Amino acid sequence: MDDHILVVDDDAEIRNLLCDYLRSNGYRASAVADGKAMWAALGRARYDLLVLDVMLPGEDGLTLCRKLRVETDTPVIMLTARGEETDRIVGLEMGADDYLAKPFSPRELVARIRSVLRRHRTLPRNLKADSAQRVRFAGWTLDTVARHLVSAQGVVTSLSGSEYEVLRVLLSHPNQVLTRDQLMLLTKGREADPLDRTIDLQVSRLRHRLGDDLAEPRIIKTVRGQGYLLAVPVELER
Amino acid sequence: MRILPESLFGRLVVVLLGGLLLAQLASAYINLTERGQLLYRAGGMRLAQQISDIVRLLESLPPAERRKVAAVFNAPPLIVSLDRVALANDAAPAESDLPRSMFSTVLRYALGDDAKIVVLRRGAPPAGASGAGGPGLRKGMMPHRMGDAGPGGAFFVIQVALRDGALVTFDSQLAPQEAALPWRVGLTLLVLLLTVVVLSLVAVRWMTGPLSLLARAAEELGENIHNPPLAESGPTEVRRAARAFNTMQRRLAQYLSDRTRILTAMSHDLKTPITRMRLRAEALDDEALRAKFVHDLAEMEAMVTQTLEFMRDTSASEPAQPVDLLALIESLRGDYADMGKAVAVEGAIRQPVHVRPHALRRCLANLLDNAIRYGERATIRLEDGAREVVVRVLDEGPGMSAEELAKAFEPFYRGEASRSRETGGTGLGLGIARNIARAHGGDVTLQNRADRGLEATLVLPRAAQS
Repeated sequence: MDDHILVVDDDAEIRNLLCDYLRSNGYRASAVADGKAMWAALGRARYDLLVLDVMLPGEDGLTLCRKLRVETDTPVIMLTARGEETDRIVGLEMGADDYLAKPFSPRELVARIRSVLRRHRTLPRNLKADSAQRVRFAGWTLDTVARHLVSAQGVVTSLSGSEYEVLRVLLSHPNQVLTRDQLMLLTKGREADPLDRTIDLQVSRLRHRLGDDLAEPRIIKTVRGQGYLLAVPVELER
Repeated sequence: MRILPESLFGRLVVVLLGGLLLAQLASAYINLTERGQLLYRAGGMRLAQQISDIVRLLESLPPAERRKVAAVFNAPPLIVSLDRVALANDAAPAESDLPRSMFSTVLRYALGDDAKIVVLRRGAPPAGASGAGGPGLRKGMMPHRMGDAGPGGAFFVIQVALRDGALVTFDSQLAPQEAALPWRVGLTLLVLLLTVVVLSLVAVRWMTGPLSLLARAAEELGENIHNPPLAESGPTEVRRAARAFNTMQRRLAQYLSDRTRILTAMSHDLKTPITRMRLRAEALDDEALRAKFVHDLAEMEAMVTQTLEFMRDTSASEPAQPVDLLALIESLRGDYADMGKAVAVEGAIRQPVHVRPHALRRCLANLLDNAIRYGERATIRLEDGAREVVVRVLDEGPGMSAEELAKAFEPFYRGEASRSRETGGTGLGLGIARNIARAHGGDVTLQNRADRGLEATLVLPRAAQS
């Protein structure tokens, strides 16, 4: 059965165009104009994913997202017209699975929908870890709002986009072996092909950034033949 | 040569001090003159009295005795002689010759109206009158003059005929009453002088304080239009200037924020139509046409996004904190590597730098985007210093002409190479980078490299920025 997507956007034209586009890409799509209609729609049917605009009349998208998280773990992709760092951050904090700034490319949206759905089915969400503002481990603090590391001395240590994603996934699943495929899927939304060294490269860069011993790593351990494991205790701070 | 000093303080001191000195000198002159005249008169009276006493005494003596007595009285400043020839009484004393007329009046009063008295005045002591200027004269700081010929005072020759016809001649010097400039006057002047200097200093500081405040506010206005308004206090003129300045600042800020709001609103409102058009473009069957639409829309979107970024006040949204600049640059390199673009990094920066990490990342990303877009490859060269760090972004592209270099930071300016090669870009990237650098107290500059390519230099001071 095709995945059912609910679009929440106050612009009628965008609603119609987006639904048409999603349908042409093999999804079932419905659309509502505001939060009230969204709750009504959720009461009537089961949806696999929500595309939620931040700027809505009445309750805004961020509030809706937070309330949604209490009731269901249906994945949410947020849309915003502001495109500012803080919007994305707050959106992710409120429990959104991904974020896209308007004017987005429809193809990009479909790619994200595909990736979020796949990720959602691969591993159960670690809601607590995903919504933490700061994650402490091995003397480091990962600031998920600013998307960078802060050392024990308070020095900001930046991460590239991929490094951040890999570290974020590892921190959400401490003491759990994650295969290269899982890591690839969770960070890039696609499966790794057997010769792809992308994840290995990112892990090696992360170890370097964290000052981990490259020969005998203490923070991110290699589990031979299986994948990687975060081997230090993790402390969450909301 | 400059006559007036540069500073207001200097000018005020010159005016006050000059005026005061003149006034002091004039009043001192008047006072001293008055005093001198009084003393002079008193001296003249005493001399006349003395002469009349001697004349009466000689009168009562026989001629033979007179010479002895005269010798007794013959002591400077009065020389008494009995054997001088008769002097002609010249014209009646002029009104202006006050001492002389006064002198003869007193003598006549003492000796009787019928006495034959000749009073002459001379500019210099007569020959043989050795007593003049002798030990009897007090030495002073400054001789006082009253129309006398020399510094020695007025010389008078007085001849009185005794009843038996003998002539007694007196050569006398009316000692000038040397009204010395007393030390008290000097001290008073000194005290006044110091008072004036101190008072001018206080007054000038007091009055020019608001002025330098105003100057500083005007300087700071260039850096931050939203500085708090000046206090509208102090003297009327200062209050008015401060009020005018505040009004000007308010209007400037209003003007700027109006413009920013209009541009921001326009850019923002364009997002919804662009989103719709993108969705519509996806419905087009003609693949080539759709590709063109998508390309145009991407350009519009970049314009909108960059404009919003350019308008945004980066300093407000993010706090400055110690940042590992090398890690930041390496993480950027990682991002470019993920996009399949190579960035080389040379050198290192060991100590953390106090900056706003996201803003600085955007600044460097803009410089790198430029280098990669026009210059094929980008190299980052780091120079660590105690006072500042320098990040050079080098490319191997065609560089820029002098004209292009001059305009490169202007909003929406795009170089020839950019326009003709359809490389994209909005012409705001460099401006944004420079704004961010300047908000950190640093700057971004561009120059052509010696051999080939362009060099963008980002300088960041190490000192913590507010």
